[in-house]
Amino acid sequence: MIELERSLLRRLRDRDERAFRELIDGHRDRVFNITFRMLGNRAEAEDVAQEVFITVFKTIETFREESKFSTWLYRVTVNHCKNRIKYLSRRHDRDRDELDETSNGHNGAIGSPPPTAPDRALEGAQMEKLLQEAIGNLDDDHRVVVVLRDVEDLSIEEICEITGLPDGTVKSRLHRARLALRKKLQRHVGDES
Amino acid sequence: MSDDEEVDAAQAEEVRKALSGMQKARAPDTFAQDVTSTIRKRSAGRFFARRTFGDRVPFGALAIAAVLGVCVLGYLMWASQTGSLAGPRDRGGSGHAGSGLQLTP
Repeated sequence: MIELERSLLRRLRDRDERAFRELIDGHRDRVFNITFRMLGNRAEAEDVAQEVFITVFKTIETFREESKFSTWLYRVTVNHCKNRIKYLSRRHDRDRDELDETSNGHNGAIGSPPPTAPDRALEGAQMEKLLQEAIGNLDDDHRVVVVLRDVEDLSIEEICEITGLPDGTVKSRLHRARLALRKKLQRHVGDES
Repeated sequence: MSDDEEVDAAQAEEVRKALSGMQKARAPDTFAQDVTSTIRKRSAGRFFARRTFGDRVPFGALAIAAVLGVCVLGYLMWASQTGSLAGPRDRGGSGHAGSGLQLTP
């Protein structure tokens, strides 16, 4: 661990507000990109990214400096994203149940899942939109490895540390996730043409 | 590697390239401010340390001030006639009435 990082950590433990701002400025875009790619929604991503930094500030004493600080930070990020995905899917199911009850079977289309909200930030980039939607359709274990490896360009070693998974599992999940994405993209392109 | 595996690998590589070419999303400009204000709100202002000397205690400056203080005290004691910071007492007989014990034969 470099001396600069050590000194920043010391200041963070002293609850130095300036150190907190330095930490946010240094990592906010990367954390935000991970949350955005994991959740596919800007507002949710921003909310989760904020929660990530709040958790980091509250639990900085528990960071034991055995791994890189960024690895720990990304682990917190991934855990928050997974929790939010679970929460959103539960809420989505509940909302759908409520809609089913209110529609009382008059319109079967109401019960079907709503189309994914268009990604305004990336409007115009059709491929990117398709990719984002395809990532959103992966299950969260596959989504994590694809986002960390292919979008964030982290090493397999780092991903193993972040997820706590063995090397082989990460690699096989990554391969399966890529193939699943490929299939989803092909289906999309096939539907449109 | 079989033909199927080769096709799989090529397709996976294609997806990897597409994913790595995705734009990087940037956090809003007010992000840091939003986070710190949320922390302040939730902790009712108790989270961030408030220090008399700002963010860092100037231990160096405090040490120099302490050494100077000790030097000044030392000089005053050295310059004093009694070797004490208190002035010399008047031990003459012309004290104020009742200021000392008077013995009568």
